[in-house]
Amino acid sequence: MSGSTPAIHGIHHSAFRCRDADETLRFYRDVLGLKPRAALRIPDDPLTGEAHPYLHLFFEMGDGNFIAFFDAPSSATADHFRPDHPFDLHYAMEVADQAEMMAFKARLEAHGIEVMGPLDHGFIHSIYFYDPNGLMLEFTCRDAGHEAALVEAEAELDSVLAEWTRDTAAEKRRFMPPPAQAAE
Amino acid sequence: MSDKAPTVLGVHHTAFRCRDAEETRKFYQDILGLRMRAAYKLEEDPTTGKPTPFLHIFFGFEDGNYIAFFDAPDSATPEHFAIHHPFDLHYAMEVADKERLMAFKSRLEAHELPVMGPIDHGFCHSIYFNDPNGLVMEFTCKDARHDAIMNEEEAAAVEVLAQWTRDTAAQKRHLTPAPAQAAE
Repeated sequence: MSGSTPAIHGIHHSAFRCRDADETLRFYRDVLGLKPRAALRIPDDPLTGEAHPYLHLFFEMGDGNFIAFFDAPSSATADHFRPDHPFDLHYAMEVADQAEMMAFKARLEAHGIEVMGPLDHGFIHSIYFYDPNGLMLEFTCRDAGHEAALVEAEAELDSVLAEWTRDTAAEKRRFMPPPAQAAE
Repeated sequence: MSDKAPTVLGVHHTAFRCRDAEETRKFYQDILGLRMRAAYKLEEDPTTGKPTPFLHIFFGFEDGNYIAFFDAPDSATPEHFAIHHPFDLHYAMEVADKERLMAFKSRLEAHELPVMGPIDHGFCHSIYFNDPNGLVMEFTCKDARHDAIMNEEEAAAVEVLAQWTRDTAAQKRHLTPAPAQAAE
């Protein structure tokens, strides 16, 4: 088995919890310019069948990808909306070039939103800010050398990863081994 | 100003925390078949400048999107890897059709991973499983009526959302006001 893997084309959507669908609509549609495509009002959790009324909101980006939100007040707490550390979660949207990125920075700041950056990551340039739900968003544009930088990184990744795994094994004991999700 | 937003092209990457980069590589590369493109070993938090050694790994999709992970053991705790509720966070990858969706289900089950579904959402069909880091993953394929349903929903979205906002305002008082991210 598992000789050949079926192909993953890309992302269909990423989904996050929102505090309030209307607040999220105003931010993603009016400030970021995304296109709202659906607001599905659903009474039950589709995985468990339990009553759990929610609104499932979808915005579409230029490339056909969606960012989706759940507004489910019966299970929401204020803690859900604390700002994320970027290592835990962030969501990077792509713009064409640095001019577009800087235009977004100006636009966000004009809306009173705090923006960090731009940062030069070598293969991309990025700015960072928070959405109204505590989700860290990034706008990024590819450098001319984006693909070349990744080809170079790809050539070294086996040795970088092997060394990192050795170097950090002891430190990881407090949160390893993983739960045996396989063994049920 | 800010009448017209610059253009968001789509997603560049979505980033999550991983328990162990090598465990995550095995899952995404060997089981899901994604191509690993980079493993960057960095010493400082790029947003704060604080020393915190981490490995930042990137896997590429066919459509030019990436899924990225941070292996940052000095700030990781077991709680970071608790399984998410899908309303809080999930990540949906697209496959071409139901045949490939079911091929992935078999492949995951052959790797002893529990898979839920397929679930018929009307506009898409989906299966659900967990990655080694507690992230809820979805594979989805568009139904033939995907675009038609989205067009229908788009026409109704503003009204559905307005009704929902009225119906849930009282229930949301404990979640509001939003933190004034703007006003600092």
